[in-house]
Amino acid sequence: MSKNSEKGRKGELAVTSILSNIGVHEPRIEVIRANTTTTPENGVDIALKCPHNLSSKLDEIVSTGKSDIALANSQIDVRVQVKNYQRPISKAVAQGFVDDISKNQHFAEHWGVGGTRLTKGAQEVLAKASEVAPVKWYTAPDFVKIQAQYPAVPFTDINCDDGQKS
Amino acid sequence: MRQNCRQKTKLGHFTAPVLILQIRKDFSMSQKLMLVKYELEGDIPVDESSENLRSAHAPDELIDWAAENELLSEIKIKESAGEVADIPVSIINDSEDRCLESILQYVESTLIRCIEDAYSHISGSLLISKELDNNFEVLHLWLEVRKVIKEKKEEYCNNCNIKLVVG
Repeated sequence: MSKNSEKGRKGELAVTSILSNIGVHEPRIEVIRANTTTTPENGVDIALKCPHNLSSKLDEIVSTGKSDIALANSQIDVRVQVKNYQRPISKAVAQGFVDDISKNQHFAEHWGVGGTRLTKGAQEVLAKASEVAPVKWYTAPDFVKIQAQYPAVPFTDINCDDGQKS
Repeated sequence: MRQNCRQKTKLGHFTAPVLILQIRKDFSMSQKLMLVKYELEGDIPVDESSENLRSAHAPDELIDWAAENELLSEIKIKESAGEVADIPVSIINDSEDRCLESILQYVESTLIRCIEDAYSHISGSLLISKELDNNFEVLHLWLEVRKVIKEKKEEYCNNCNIKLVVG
Protein backbone atom coordinates (compact mmCIF):
# COMPACT_ATOMS: atom_id res chain seq x y z
CA MET A 1 0.00 0.00 0.00
CA SER A 2 1.44 3.36 -0.97
CA LYS A 3 2.12 6.01 1.61
CA ASN A 4 -0.59 8.54 2.31
CA SER A 5 1.48 11.36 0.83
CA GLU A 6 2.09 9.31 -2.32
CA LYS A 7 -1.61 8.53 -2.75
CA GLY A 8 -2.49 12.20 -2.29
CA ARG A 9 0.17 13.31 -4.77
CA LYS A 10 -0.95 10.75 -7.38
CA GLY A 11 -4.62 11.67 -6.95
CA GLU A 12 -3.96 15.38 -7.34
CA LEU A 13 -1.74 14.83 -10.38
CA ALA A 14 -4.30 12.53 -12.03
CA VAL A 15 -7.14 15.01 -11.55
CA THR A 16 -4.90 17.89 -12.68
CA SER A 17 -4.10 15.89 -15.80
CA ILE A 18 -7.76 15.17 -16.59
CA LEU A 19 -8.80 18.78 -16.01
CA SER A 20 -5.90 19.94 -18.19
CA ASN A 21 -7.08 17.53 -20.90
CA ILE A 22 -10.55 19.06 -20.73
CA GLY A 23 -8.78 22.41 -21.24
CA VAL A 24 -7.11 21.07 -24.38
CA HIS A 25 -10.51 20.09 -25.82
CA GLU A 26 -12.60 23.00 -24.54
CA PRO A 27 -11.98 26.74 -24.61
CA ARG A 28 -11.49 29.10 -21.66
CA ILE A 29 -10.35 26.53 -19.10
CA GLU A 30 -7.20 27.14 -17.08
CA VAL A 31 -5.91 24.78 -14.43
CA ILE A 32 -4.15 26.92 -11.89
CA ARG A 33 -2.88 26.63 -8.36
CA ALA A 34 -4.25 28.87 -5.63
CA ASN A 35 -1.04 28.46 -3.63
CA THR A 36 2.36 28.38 -5.25
CA THR A 37 4.24 28.38 -1.96
CA THR A 38 4.62 25.84 0.80
CA THR A 39 1.83 27.35 2.90
CA PRO A 40 -1.23 25.35 4.00
CA GLU A 41 -3.83 25.38 1.28
CA ASN A 42 -7.02 25.37 3.35
CA GLY A 43 -8.69 22.65 1.35
CA VAL A 44 -7.70 23.84 -2.13
CA ASP A 45 -5.89 21.08 -4.01
CA ILE A 46 -6.47 22.54 -7.47
CA ALA A 47 -8.00 25.82 -8.59
CA LEU A 48 -9.78 26.17 -11.91
CA LYS A 49 -10.75 29.17 -13.99
CA CYS A 50 -13.48 27.94 -16.31
CA PRO A 51 -16.81 28.80 -17.99
CA HIS A 52 -19.57 29.20 -15.42
CA ASN A 53 -21.57 26.33 -16.90
CA LEU A 54 -18.74 23.76 -17.06
CA SER A 55 -20.16 21.85 -14.11
CA SER A 56 -23.57 21.62 -15.87
CA LYS A 57 -21.80 20.07 -18.87
CA LEU A 58 -19.84 17.65 -16.67
CA ASP A 59 -23.05 16.74 -14.80
CA GLU A 60 -24.71 15.87 -18.12
CA ILE A 61 -21.71 13.75 -19.17
CA VAL A 62 -21.90 11.90 -15.85
CA SER A 63 -25.64 11.21 -16.21
CA THR A 64 -25.92 10.53 -19.96
CA GLY A 65 -22.35 9.87 -21.14
CA LYS A 66 -22.20 12.96 -23.37
CA SER A 67 -23.19 16.61 -23.55
CA ASP A 68 -23.89 19.18 -26.27
CA ILE A 69 -24.00 22.10 -23.85
CA ALA A 70 -22.03 25.03 -25.30
CA LEU A 71 -19.68 26.54 -22.77
CA ALA A 72 -20.30 30.15 -21.76
CA ASN A 73 -17.88 33.02 -22.27
CA SER A 74 -17.98 34.17 -18.65
CA GLN A 75 -15.50 32.50 -16.33
CA ILE A 76 -15.62 31.60 -12.67
CA ASP A 77 -13.09 30.36 -10.12
CA VAL A 78 -13.59 26.84 -8.80
CA ARG A 79 -12.00 25.15 -5.77
CA VAL A 80 -11.24 21.46 -6.33
CA GLN A 81 -10.45 19.07 -3.50
CA VAL A 82 -9.26 15.56 -4.37
CA LYS A 83 -9.79 12.46 -2.24
CA ASN A 84 -7.87 9.55 -3.73
CA TYR A 85 -9.90 6.90 -1.91
CA GLN A 86 -10.91 3.41 -3.01
CA ARG A 87 -13.86 3.57 -0.63
CA PRO A 88 -17.07 5.58 -0.12
CA ILE A 89 -16.91 9.20 1.00
CA SER A 90 -18.27 9.28 4.55
CA LYS A 91 -20.39 11.99 6.14
CA ALA A 92 -17.40 13.19 8.22
CA VAL A 93 -15.19 13.60 5.11
CA ALA A 94 -17.96 15.43 3.23
CA GLN A 95 -18.46 17.70 6.24
CA GLY A 96 -14.71 18.42 6.30
CA PHE A 97 -14.91 19.48 2.64
CA VAL A 98 -17.95 21.69 3.29
CA ASP A 99 -16.32 23.29 6.35
CA ASP A 100 -13.59 24.70 4.09
CA ILE A 101 -16.11 26.70 2.02
CA SER A 102 -16.09 29.55 4.54
CA LYS A 103 -12.30 29.89 4.21
CA ASN A 104 -12.58 30.00 0.42
CA GLN A 105 -15.42 32.38 -0.30
CA HIS A 106 -13.69 33.91 -3.33
CA PHE A 107 -14.41 30.66 -5.21
CA ALA A 108 -17.72 30.57 -7.05
CA GLU A 109 -18.01 26.77 -6.92
CA HIS A 110 -16.56 24.00 -4.78
CA TRP A 111 -15.93 20.56 -6.29
CA GLY A 112 -14.93 17.40 -4.49
CA VAL A 113 -13.44 14.57 -6.57
CA GLY A 114 -12.94 10.94 -5.56
CA GLY A 115 -14.31 8.04 -3.61
CA THR A 116 -16.29 5.10 -4.94
CA ARG A 117 -19.60 6.71 -3.94
CA LEU A 118 -21.15 9.04 -1.37
CA THR A 119 -22.79 7.61 1.74
CA LYS A 120 -26.33 8.79 2.54
CA GLY A 121 -24.93 11.00 5.29
CA ALA A 122 -22.41 12.54 2.87
CA GLN A 123 -25.17 13.18 0.32
CA GLU A 124 -27.23 14.97 2.97
CA VAL A 125 -24.29 17.14 4.02
CA LEU A 126 -23.61 18.17 0.40
CA ALA A 127 -27.31 18.80 -0.30
CA LYS A 128 -27.53 21.09 2.72
CA ALA A 129 -24.33 22.91 1.72
CA SER A 130 -25.77 23.44 -1.78
CA GLU A 131 -28.40 25.69 -0.24
CA VAL A 132 -25.70 28.25 0.59
CA ALA A 133 -22.96 27.63 -2.00
CA PRO A 134 -22.63 25.78 -5.32
CA VAL A 135 -21.17 22.42 -4.29
CA LYS A 136 -20.52 19.38 -6.49
CA TRP A 137 -19.00 15.98 -5.83
CA TYR A 138 -17.68 13.84 -8.67
CA THR A 139 -16.93 10.30 -7.52
CA ALA A 140 -14.15 8.26 -9.13
CA PRO A 141 -16.65 6.45 -11.44
CA ASP A 142 -18.12 9.87 -12.40
CA PHE A 143 -14.67 11.16 -13.22
CA VAL A 144 -13.91 8.11 -15.35
CA LYS A 145 -16.96 9.00 -17.50
CA ILE A 146 -15.69 12.58 -17.83
CA GLN A 147 -12.20 11.32 -18.66
CA ALA A 148 -13.64 9.10 -21.42
CA GLN A 149 -15.19 12.16 -23.08
CA TYR A 150 -11.90 14.03 -23.07
CA PRO A 151 -9.17 11.62 -24.20
CA ALA A 152 -5.56 12.75 -24.22
CA VAL A 153 -4.55 14.33 -27.53
CA PRO A 154 -1.09 13.38 -28.89
CA PHE A 155 1.22 16.35 -28.43
CA THR A 156 1.85 16.47 -32.20
CA ASP A 157 -1.89 17.01 -32.77
CA ILE A 158 -2.75 19.57 -30.12
CA ASN A 159 -2.79 22.52 -32.52
CA CYS A 160 -5.16 20.86 -34.97
CA ASP A 161 -8.58 22.46 -34.92
CA ASP A 162 -10.19 19.04 -35.05
CA GLY A 163 -8.47 18.32 -31.73
CA GLN A 164 -10.93 20.72 -30.16
CA LYS A 165 -14.59 19.93 -29.58
CA SER A 166 -17.13 22.39 -30.87
CA MET B 1 -5.43 31.28 -36.61
CA ARG B 2 -6.32 33.30 -33.53
CA GLN B 3 -7.87 30.18 -32.05
CA ASN B 4 -4.64 28.26 -32.58
CA CYS B 5 -2.54 30.95 -30.91
CA ARG B 6 -4.78 30.88 -27.88
CA GLN B 7 -4.49 27.11 -27.69
CA LYS B 8 -0.69 27.36 -27.84
CA THR B 9 -0.70 29.87 -25.00
CA LYS B 10 -2.94 27.65 -22.95
CA LEU B 11 -0.75 24.66 -23.60
CA GLY B 12 2.17 26.68 -22.29
CA HIS B 13 0.34 26.51 -18.93
CA PHE B 14 -0.36 22.83 -19.40
CA THR B 15 2.64 21.46 -17.54
CA ALA B 16 2.92 24.22 -14.94
CA PRO B 17 0.42 22.87 -12.38
CA VAL B 18 2.14 19.50 -12.40
CA LEU B 19 5.51 21.04 -11.58
CA ILE B 20 4.08 23.13 -8.77
CA LEU B 21 2.37 20.15 -7.22
CA GLN B 22 5.67 18.29 -7.15
CA ILE B 23 7.48 21.17 -5.45
CA ARG B 24 4.92 21.40 -2.66
CA LYS B 25 4.66 17.65 -2.11
CA ASP B 26 6.04 17.73 1.43
CA PHE B 27 3.33 20.12 2.53
CA SER B 28 0.42 18.45 0.78
CA MET B 29 -2.49 18.06 3.16
CA SER B 30 -5.63 17.04 1.43
CA GLN B 31 -6.73 15.18 4.51
CA LYS B 32 -8.03 16.32 7.83
CA LEU B 33 -7.78 14.99 11.34
CA MET B 34 -11.32 15.16 12.68
CA LEU B 35 -12.79 14.57 16.09
CA VAL B 36 -16.05 12.88 15.15
CA LYS B 37 -18.94 11.93 17.43
CA TYR B 38 -20.93 8.86 16.39
CA GLU B 39 -23.99 7.11 17.69
CA LEU B 40 -23.15 3.45 18.16
CA GLU B 41 -25.23 0.43 17.26
CA GLY B 42 -23.83 -2.64 18.99
CA ASP B 43 -20.49 -0.85 19.49
CA ILE B 44 -20.32 0.00 15.77
CA PRO B 45 -20.36 3.68 14.74
CA VAL B 46 -23.15 4.82 12.39
CA ASP B 47 -22.00 7.18 9.61
CA GLU B 48 -25.35 8.94 9.22
CA SER B 49 -25.32 9.93 12.91
CA SER B 50 -21.83 11.46 12.81
CA GLU B 51 -21.07 14.99 13.90
CA ASN B 52 -17.69 16.71 13.41
CA LEU B 53 -16.68 18.34 16.71
CA ARG B 54 -13.29 19.75 15.73
CA SER B 55 -10.92 19.35 12.81
CA ALA B 56 -7.53 20.41 11.50
CA HIS B 57 -5.71 19.90 8.23
CA ALA B 58 -3.43 16.91 8.74
CA PRO B 59 0.07 17.16 7.24
CA ASP B 60 0.93 14.04 5.23
CA GLU B 61 4.09 13.79 7.33
CA LEU B 62 1.89 13.12 10.39
CA ILE B 63 -0.34 10.57 8.68
CA ASP B 64 2.64 8.73 7.14
CA TRP B 65 4.33 8.63 10.57
CA ALA B 66 1.15 7.34 12.25
CA ALA B 67 0.78 4.63 9.60
CA GLU B 68 4.43 3.57 9.89
CA ASN B 69 4.08 3.28 13.66
CA GLU B 70 0.83 1.31 13.43
CA LEU B 71 -1.18 4.07 15.08
CA LEU B 72 -3.57 4.26 12.16
CA SER B 73 -6.36 1.66 11.92
CA GLU B 74 -9.14 0.98 9.48
CA ILE B 75 -12.52 0.20 11.01
CA LYS B 76 -15.80 -0.53 9.27
CA ILE B 77 -18.80 1.52 10.24
CA LYS B 78 -22.48 1.28 9.32
CA GLU B 79 -23.82 3.67 6.69
CA SER B 80 -27.17 3.86 8.53
CA ALA B 81 -28.66 2.21 11.60
CA GLY B 82 -29.69 -1.39 10.95
CA GLU B 83 -27.28 -1.86 8.04
CA VAL B 84 -24.16 -4.00 7.66
CA ALA B 85 -20.88 -2.37 8.74
CA ASP B 86 -19.19 -2.00 5.35
CA ILE B 87 -17.93 1.57 5.20
CA PRO B 88 -14.15 1.64 5.83
CA VAL B 89 -12.94 4.61 7.86
CA SER B 90 -9.36 5.43 8.91
CA ILE B 91 -8.96 6.36 12.56
CA ILE B 92 -6.14 7.03 14.97
CA ASN B 93 -5.95 3.90 17.09
CA ASP B 94 -7.31 4.80 20.53
CA SER B 95 -7.58 1.29 21.98
CA GLU B 96 -4.51 1.94 24.14
CA ASP B 97 -3.56 5.14 25.93
CA ARG B 98 -0.03 4.97 24.54
CA CYS B 99 -1.28 5.55 20.99
CA LEU B 100 -2.65 9.00 21.71
CA GLU B 101 0.35 9.77 23.91
CA SER B 102 2.77 8.76 21.13
CA ILE B 103 1.09 10.84 18.49
CA LEU B 104 0.85 13.82 20.81
CA GLN B 105 4.56 13.54 21.58
CA TYR B 106 5.34 13.41 17.87
CA VAL B 107 3.24 16.54 17.23
CA GLU B 108 4.88 18.38 20.13
CA SER B 109 8.40 17.52 18.94
CA THR B 110 7.43 18.76 15.50
CA LEU B 111 6.13 22.00 17.04
CA ILE B 112 9.46 22.52 18.80
CA ARG B 113 11.22 21.95 15.47
CA CYS B 114 8.90 24.53 13.86
CA ILE B 115 9.79 27.06 16.56
CA GLU B 116 13.51 26.40 15.99
CA ASP B 117 13.00 26.84 12.24
CA ALA B 118 11.28 30.16 12.85
CA TYR B 119 14.09 31.23 15.20
CA SER B 120 16.66 30.41 12.53
CA HIS B 121 15.12 33.13 10.37
CA ILE B 122 15.81 35.79 12.95
CA SER B 123 19.29 37.25 12.84
CA GLY B 124 19.84 39.93 15.46
CA SER B 125 17.11 42.48 14.87
CA LEU B 126 16.70 41.36 11.24
CA LEU B 127 13.60 39.36 10.45
CA ILE B 128 13.27 37.44 7.21
CA SER B 129 9.58 38.11 6.98
CA LYS B 130 8.71 35.90 4.01
CA GLU B 131 10.31 32.87 5.63
CA LEU B 132 8.71 33.73 8.95
CA ASP B 133 5.25 33.93 7.34
CA ASN B 134 5.74 30.40 6.11
CA ASN B 135 7.16 29.19 9.45
CA PHE B 136 4.23 30.69 11.35
CA GLU B 137 1.69 29.17 8.95
CA VAL B 138 3.21 25.73 9.49
CA LEU B 139 3.41 26.31 13.24
CA HIS B 140 -0.27 27.29 13.29
CA LEU B 141 -1.20 24.16 11.37
CA TRP B 142 0.57 21.86 13.86
CA LEU B 143 -0.91 23.77 16.81
CA GLU B 144 -4.39 23.09 15.42
CA VAL B 145 -3.52 19.39 15.04
CA ARG B 146 -2.33 19.37 18.67
CA LYS B 147 -5.66 20.88 19.84
CA VAL B 148 -7.62 18.07 18.15
CA ILE B 149 -5.47 15.30 19.65
CA LYS B 150 -5.38 16.90 23.10
CA GLU B 151 -9.17 17.23 23.13
CA LYS B 152 -9.55 13.52 22.36
CA LYS B 153 -6.90 12.57 24.93
CA GLU B 154 -8.07 14.81 27.75
CA GLU B 155 -11.85 14.94 27.30
CA TYR B 156 -12.85 11.81 25.41
CA CYS B 157 -10.06 9.32 26.12
CA ASN B 158 -12.32 6.42 27.04
CA ASN B 159 -15.30 7.55 25.01
CA CYS B 160 -15.95 5.00 22.23
CA ASN B 161 -18.48 7.33 20.58
CA ILE B 162 -15.81 9.84 19.71
CA LYS B 163 -13.14 8.88 17.19
CA LEU B 164 -10.14 10.64 15.66
CA VAL B 165 -10.94 10.17 11.98
CA VAL B 166 -8.47 10.76 9.15
CA GLY B 167 -10.04 11.72 5.85
